[in-house]
Amino acid sequence: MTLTRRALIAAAGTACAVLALPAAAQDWPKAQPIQIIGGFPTGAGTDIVARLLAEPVSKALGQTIIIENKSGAGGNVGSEFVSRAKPDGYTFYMGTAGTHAINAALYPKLNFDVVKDFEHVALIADVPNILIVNPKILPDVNSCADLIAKAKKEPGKLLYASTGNGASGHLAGAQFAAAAGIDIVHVPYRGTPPALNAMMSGESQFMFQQSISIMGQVKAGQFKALAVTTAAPMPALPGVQTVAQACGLPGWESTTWYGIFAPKGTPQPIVQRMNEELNKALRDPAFDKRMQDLGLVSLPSTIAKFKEVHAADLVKWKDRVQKSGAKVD
Amino acid sequence: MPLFLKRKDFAAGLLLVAFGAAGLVLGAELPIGVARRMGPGFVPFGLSLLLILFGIAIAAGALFHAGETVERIRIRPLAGVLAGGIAFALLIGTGGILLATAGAIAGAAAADSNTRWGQAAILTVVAAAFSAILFVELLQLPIPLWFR
Amino acid sequence: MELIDNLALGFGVAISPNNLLFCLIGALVGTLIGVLPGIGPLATIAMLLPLTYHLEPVTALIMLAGIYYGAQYGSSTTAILVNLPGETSSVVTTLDGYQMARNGRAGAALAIAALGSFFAGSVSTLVIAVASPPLARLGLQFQAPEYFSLMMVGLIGAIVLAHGSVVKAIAVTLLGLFLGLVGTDLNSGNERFTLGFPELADGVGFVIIAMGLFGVADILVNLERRHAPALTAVIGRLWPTRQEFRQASPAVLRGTVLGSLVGVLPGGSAALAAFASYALEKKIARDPSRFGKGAVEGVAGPESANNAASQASFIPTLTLGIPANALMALMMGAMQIFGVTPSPRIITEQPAFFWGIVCSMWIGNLMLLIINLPMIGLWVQLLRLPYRLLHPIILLMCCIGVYSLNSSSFDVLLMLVFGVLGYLLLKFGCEPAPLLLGFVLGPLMEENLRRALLVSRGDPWVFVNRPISAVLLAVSAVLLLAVLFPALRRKREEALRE
Repeated sequence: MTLTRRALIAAAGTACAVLALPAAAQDWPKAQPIQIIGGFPTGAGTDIVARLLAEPVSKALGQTIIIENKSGAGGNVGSEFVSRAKPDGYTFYMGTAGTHAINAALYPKLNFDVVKDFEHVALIADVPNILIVNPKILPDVNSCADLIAKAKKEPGKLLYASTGNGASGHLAGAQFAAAAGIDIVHVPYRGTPPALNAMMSGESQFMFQQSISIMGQVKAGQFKALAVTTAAPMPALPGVQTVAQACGLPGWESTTWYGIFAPKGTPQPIVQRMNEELNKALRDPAFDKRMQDLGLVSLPSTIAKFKEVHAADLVKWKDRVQKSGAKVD
Repeated sequence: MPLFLKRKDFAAGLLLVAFGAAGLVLGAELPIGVARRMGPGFVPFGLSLLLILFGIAIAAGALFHAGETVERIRIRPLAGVLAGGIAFALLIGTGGILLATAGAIAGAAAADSNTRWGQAAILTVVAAAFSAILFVELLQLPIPLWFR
Repeated sequence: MELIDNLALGFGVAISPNNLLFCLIGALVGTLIGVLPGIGPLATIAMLLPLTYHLEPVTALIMLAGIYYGAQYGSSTTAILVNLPGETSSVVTTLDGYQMARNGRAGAALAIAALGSFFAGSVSTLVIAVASPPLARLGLQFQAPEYFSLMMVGLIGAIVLAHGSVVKAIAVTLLGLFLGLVGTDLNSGNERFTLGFPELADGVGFVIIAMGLFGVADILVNLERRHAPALTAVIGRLWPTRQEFRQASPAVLRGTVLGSLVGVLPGGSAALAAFASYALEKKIARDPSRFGKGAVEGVAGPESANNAASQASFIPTLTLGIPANALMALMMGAMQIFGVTPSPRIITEQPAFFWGIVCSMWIGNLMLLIINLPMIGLWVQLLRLPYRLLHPIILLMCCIGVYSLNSSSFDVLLMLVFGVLGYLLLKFGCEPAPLLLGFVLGPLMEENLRRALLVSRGDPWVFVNRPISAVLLAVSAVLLLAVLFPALRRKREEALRE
């Protein structure tokens, strides 16, 4: 292990630079890099989107943005970390409908409050689930109506995969079964790769899967998209109807979102500025194209709108979790 | 103390029984279910029993067969290495990589009766600078250099 | 000759100066992070991803792939020199590689690891080129019952790993299975043995347990011996002897075949390939007692197997769009960001992309060999460092490596706990290696067992009615008998003597 004198001096210099004064709201962001925490492993959807956003926002703010993932317990480890972080405008959180609405209903006790311990910064995107079947395994199922008919003919026979107990795909499946009045069996897998594998090998017959991980396979025809779970069709998948239309279940929807939060007490001017920069990035056509390719629907919106969506979702998901019987304790 | 208590197999058996027993106690509330539809407690219950069974068998073997005895446990290496690791864990998030590195190396050095403190001091400086440059500057790991 | 045309197209892409440069950068970065324990290719690739946005997709993927297999090369270096497995797959390398180093054969072990990896990498690249689509279809034959039976073979293999008491080896494997239970149960959502720590809700991380059991425990045991371990005593000649080459060559060949097969299975990991190869080598060796004391085959086989497997795992990713593991999932994410959709049509729709990557893998392997062979002399010099200076560095690397996984101090403390456990196991005459395999396979086995029964609606015959599963179960039964019988015979002989 050798070291040049120049390297030592450089290290000492950097150490001094980092010791500089703490930041005040007006000269934010100056003193130190901003971190965006993710609650899921590196490479997960939240991580990819956070990294995509980091590029333009860091340019606009003139400050480095570091993405740091603290994964575990369905995102709760990351949420708890951010809820306790210093509200100085240098820590943000890439939250989801999962971490901030589903988990509140799913886990009997959380060490933080998903509303009171956070500042809403900006809604980022809708993450639709897509109802998919493998055409090689179920060649006779060409529409959602076919699927429901098949499930009614063979009650308790059709298996649907999910990426885990309490995952949005699991809850969408339970909600779907209840609305359509069918008896289907839930098979949980540990994350996306094994679940997709089971879809390919025919171990499970259908699933509600987050668009971000299957856009490619759907476009290539490997999986057939029967419907999307959002209230409106997805621009990136023209010709695929919503569950409400395709399955004849009016009013049915099940949408999850990504949104940026900050620890409670982060100064409002900083939250405002961050909201503006994030929205600017989301409105950029090139950026939006990237999001669409990933299967996401950008949602530039105000802080108030974000709060509204979150409050409504807390009620909705609580009901869905209760009805599905899913629990984690 | 009877000789068999010092045998390696006896100690190993006890360790396994301890894990098995802990498994039974901590897993007591998990529903076991039936083989057809296993509950979350099925596999833990079975494994705990197996651990206890194997533990008893291995420990009992030590009663009847001569075997190697456990060498004396020395406190200094154990205490030093653990102190170094704990110091690192406590310092890294708050004090930054430079202090945490110094803590880990100081603990490790204290663990070794062969340590020459002059060398250890140089090693601390070199390693702190090296890890700061490599991990924080080049690899851009999200670790602070110094107090935030 | 379609294949030759394809390879010509691929090499045309891969040897453009730009692609060569980024292949080299990837291989170098990969080697670096592989040598540093704990800092895995997953985190590195994620961090470098934004830097590659302005590159051509094929160039970016070539670099990211270079990091991936470069890390495999690098991690065997620390496994051999200081007994630190940086990746799951190099745990096996510590068993005999580290012992070779202690016998003064560090140079030979490193050279054989590098040459074996290169050979395996070249062969599996060719396999990808020739047989991607049929192999990918084979992988799809595997469902829950098959995976369960495959894990069973692996588990019995764990018992073969140990030298010494078979009963203790089984017990330690059970302990590994037990530790694997920690976390949230997949099917019911119940938390098991988390002791109320949210950090344990997803179980204990593999790197944490490996660094504790191998890195920290090893330091504790070494420091306790009154005299510093004789790491520095002998360095010996760097290059393997003719006899070592003779022993290694067939092992490399077997490891390559085994690794290519396991790697194709989605979810079949490089680690499983390495473990299987080690068990095979030990089983067919004329004198199995050499294993664990520095047997050349124990390095050559597993090193070839893990490299072959890690490259073969590109097959399901590239051709089916199904990632074999978390890292492949990230690579797929990267491809999507670049607008390349992994699917069965990729070979026909984007031939330059597909074949360019395949050919660059071979070039990357060649580069790694050229980088690594001259480095061996340098690495071995590290062993000249007195242990009083070496062990603080090892402890520091373990701490930083574990912390970097999830920026969690809790993980560092957990590593220390496992360090103490590993120390006690060694003190009590138990080997920690089977524990690690039990730990890796345990949760997967339980998951697949319960899933198989769920899907078959509780029919236990599903494991023998499906042919692949039945064959795998038969293999594990035979293996178990082969392990138990010599042990039983020995016991009886001992009893008769007394």
